Amino acid sequence: MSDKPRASQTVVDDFGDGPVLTASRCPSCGDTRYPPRAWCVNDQETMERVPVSPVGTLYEAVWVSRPPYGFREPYYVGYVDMPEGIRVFGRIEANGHELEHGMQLAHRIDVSRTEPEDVLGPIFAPAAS
Amino acid sequence: MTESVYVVGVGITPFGKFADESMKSLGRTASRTALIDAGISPRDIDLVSAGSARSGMLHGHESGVGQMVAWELGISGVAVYNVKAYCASGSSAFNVAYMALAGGFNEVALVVGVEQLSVRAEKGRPITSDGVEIESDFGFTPPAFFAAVTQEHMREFGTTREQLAAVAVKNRANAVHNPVAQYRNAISIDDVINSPNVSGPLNLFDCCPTGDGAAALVLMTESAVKRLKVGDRAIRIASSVVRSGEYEQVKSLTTFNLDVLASKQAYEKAGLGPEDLDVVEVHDAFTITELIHIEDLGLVAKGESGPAVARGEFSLGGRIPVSTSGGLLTKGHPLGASGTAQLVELVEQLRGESGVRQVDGAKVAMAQMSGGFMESDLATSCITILTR
Ligand SMILES: [Zn+2]
Repeated sequence: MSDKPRASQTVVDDFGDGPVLTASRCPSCGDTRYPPRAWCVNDQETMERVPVSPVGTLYEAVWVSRPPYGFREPYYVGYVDMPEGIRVFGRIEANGHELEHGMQLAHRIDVSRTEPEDVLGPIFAPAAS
Repeated sequence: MTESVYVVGVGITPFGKFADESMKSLGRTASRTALIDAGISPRDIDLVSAGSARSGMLHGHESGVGQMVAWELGISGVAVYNVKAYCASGSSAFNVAYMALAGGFNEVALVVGVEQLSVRAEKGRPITSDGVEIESDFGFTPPAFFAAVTQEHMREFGTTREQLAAVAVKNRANAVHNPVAQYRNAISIDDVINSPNVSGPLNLFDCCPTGDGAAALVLMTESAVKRLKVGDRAIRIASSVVRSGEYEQVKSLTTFNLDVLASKQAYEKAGLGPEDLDVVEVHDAFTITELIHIEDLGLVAKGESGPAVARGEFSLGGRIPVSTSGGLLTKGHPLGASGTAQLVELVEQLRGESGVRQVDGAKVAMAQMSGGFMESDLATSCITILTR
């Protein structure tokens, strides 16, 4: 047993430089989907797993005042639209910024949830301009 | 060739948090009431269809809720189906029974939706949903999702905090007159706006409570209605449609395409349109969802639901009363029971048996129940149209 946090098996891969957020892309038609799928919905080709672009556009972010089981403190979450045409849900660190529709957010992989065990996931924050 | 199918009996338990009840006692009580209302014996039933979403596991009945309720009533040797489809479990169970009767395979069906959530270990915390394991690890909750939807509706159409609150105020005003509702005291716009925050623009009174309860219906083919002579208060099922989501990656969250498409199918099958509706029940798990659903069903133009609800167009006495039962916002949302409870309300409305909540002369009614989350859409939608 390792003490490493559980990575969400489905959306976090390590391509050699540490854990990154992962989508799937069809080698035949180029359709990109998140969370990754095994097969392309258009032509049933086996999808390739590809890293997600580092920066996306905030669709909506909301404050969660009453955290569910697994989360100790209130937090921001939101939907971020990535350049490859996918929408990613994740926690957001506002870092003192107002979170507004259309702003640019960058993501890293970090601990997203702490109970009953640590789980890795995408954490967004305002992108350095 | 399909048979005409009718609802001839309805039964419902009070909705609330009942530590002394069980899925068994709730399910059998609602079902027995429906059988008595229909004026038939349990032995007349040849199909049982049961909807429950989450509480089966808590009660040692992940499978077999339908068999359990049937056994309690002395119904044996019949076809039994157990349907699990998120919040739409009861509505989907109704569709299964409808198909079996319309297809001529069975004649007399008992549909029961039942759930007991008050025994869950994490009670007091927002309830999670099935099918969002990945997002739940990243902080997803249903209120957070619908808070994002609300912000987007506000940004795109100028919907206001007060207009959202008007939905909760209207549904409470209806619940005052519904003895089975969980929360029955009237509230004001200020009460909603000043209730504790849950997520983003949504406060406690914008979110439906959980709860326990059951609601049941007896369905019959036209030939069984004649044979058993129970036609006096029969309500016809004009259409019943079940449809899964349209999974797109980047889409507006201010509309749920599956409801638009499922309701279009239901209108076409019934040969009716939104202009024919007299009374409607929607999946008002949140104030914002009632607004979006009435837009998606065509009751009001896209983006105009906020001002319309504030003007009273969907209140009792308004253009098309919506959530006359008080909705999920006041009854609470015992998942599998909510869909059948909507249908019980509408059958009573069409019979003219709703008392103070009666919509005068109601002839056509629609129920909309969606459920689950998939790839930033909902996972399923059930649309039912009933006519007198
Ligand atoms: Zn492809």
